[in-house]
Amino acid sequence: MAKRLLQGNEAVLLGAVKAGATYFAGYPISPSSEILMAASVYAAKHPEFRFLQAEDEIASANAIIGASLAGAKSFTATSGPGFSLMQEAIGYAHKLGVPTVFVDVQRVGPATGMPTMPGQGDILQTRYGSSGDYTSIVFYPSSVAECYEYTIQAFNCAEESQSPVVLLSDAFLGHLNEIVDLDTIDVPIVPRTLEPLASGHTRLFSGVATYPDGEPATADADEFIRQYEEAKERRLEVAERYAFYEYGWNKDAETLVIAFGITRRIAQPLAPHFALFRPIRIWPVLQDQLREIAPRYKRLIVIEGSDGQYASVVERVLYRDVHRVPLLGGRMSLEAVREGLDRIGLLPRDLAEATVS
Amino acid sequence: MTERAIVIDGVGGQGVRVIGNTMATLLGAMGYEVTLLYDYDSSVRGGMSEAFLKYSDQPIANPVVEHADVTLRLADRGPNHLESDYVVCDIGLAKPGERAEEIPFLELGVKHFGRDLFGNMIALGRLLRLANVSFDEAALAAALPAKYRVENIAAVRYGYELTPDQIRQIVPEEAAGRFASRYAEAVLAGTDPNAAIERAGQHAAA
Repeated sequence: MAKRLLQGNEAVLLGAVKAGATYFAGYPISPSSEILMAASVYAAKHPEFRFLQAEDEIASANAIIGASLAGAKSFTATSGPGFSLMQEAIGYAHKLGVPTVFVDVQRVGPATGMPTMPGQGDILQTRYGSSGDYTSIVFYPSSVAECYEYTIQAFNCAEESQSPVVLLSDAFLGHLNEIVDLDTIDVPIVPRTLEPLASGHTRLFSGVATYPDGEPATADADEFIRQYEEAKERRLEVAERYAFYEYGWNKDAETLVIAFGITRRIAQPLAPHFALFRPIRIWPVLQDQLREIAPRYKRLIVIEGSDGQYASVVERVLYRDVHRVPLLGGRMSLEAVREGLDRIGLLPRDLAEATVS
Repeated sequence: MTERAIVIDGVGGQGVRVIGNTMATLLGAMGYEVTLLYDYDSSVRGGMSEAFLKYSDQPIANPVVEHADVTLRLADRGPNHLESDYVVCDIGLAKPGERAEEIPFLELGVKHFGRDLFGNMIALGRLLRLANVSFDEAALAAALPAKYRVENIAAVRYGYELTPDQIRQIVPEEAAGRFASRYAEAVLAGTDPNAAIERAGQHAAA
């Protein structure tokens, strides 16, 4: 396949197909709808790929869980308010250990908010959105080629960890078109790990705490903890093999910028003045890498499309203060970055005077 | 080469995406690295719709354009902080102090191709010329939607082949024609001739 112009949302669909997905269920919502549209077009031409436009996001999320339990690699795509509606189902998928992929193309929230404007305010929702304790695995690409690559990795990781995995994107990344050659991206595909229905023995799909034989374990703390620890250990162990990040720019600088998704792209003109740490695996947080890299720098700045969600995570991991440059209201621009840096007194002089493009 | 940045500034329904996608596809076919980012309001018709296009022979990091080499302005709804070295726009959309050329794209679309929407293809042609993108009919045919492809290609070619002299001649001719028809309408409706002159002038600039 030659180079071609491809949109981030379309790249997600192509990555899912490459990973072996055969089932999509979803409900249209900006700025993720192109994934649903591309899935419907693909399904019309490939009968082995099943497509469901459900009545809402709750049904979509439960449909992909059912499809996965029945034997299909499955996924859905949504945005902020839809992702909120999916949280109960996500908890259910964690409880059952269902490999499936949730794509969240972030916009400005809360609620309906600014439906077509880019945001990054679902960082904590991807970790803590459902009830109880569970171990989230979340990836966040920052280019069209990476949308393809990390969609495949999300499916692979879901299979290996036997858990739902979230792929984050944002309105700008989802609607970004770039020239890509997908043939140059070679990610081995992890085969299906969960046996399909009708495999010869009874399985119980209950959200209730149960013993392996299906009897309720609703008052047995030891059994609950055993199952929880087993699932946590498996997911953390698998996630370690997917510890993707970028560390670069001016590594000898005094200040480390942390940015991800589209903000990493917008912040590129800062490169001569700052070092960069870009987490691609958002959850589990890249604790070891942050603790190794961050002490080399006098100051840390987190530039993100929320009011300090990831910054608060970095502070907790490193036990130190970080500077915050929140890009709010969909104002994802270098001008907004410069204003934010100026506000905290860390705007390099030549950037203050430069004309941006 | 350094990055070149183009903005297409319009409202929903004007064809901003068609123009942006066609241009990006042509630039990609020429071997450039391209980023094309759509930024639009959730009101589909009448809401702000922007296409940020960058191209270079090197990978492009930041796809958001805040300072454009050229802006094609089909409507004035874009970000207030957007700066542009050169603006090409329909009549009445240039702002004071801008380096700009005004071309009555929509009128030319009606006059030469029968529909105002073809005016946007004329604008695409002009933009291709300003960006020094070579006119490749086969690549253009592949990049444009199938509907009205022949007419669209003809309109793009018309815009591409416009010379500065022609542009200088078109503007007075079209504006004068519009002024004359508005003046006649106003007088026939019983408006005082002096008031009709003023009203026709306002309409011509609108």
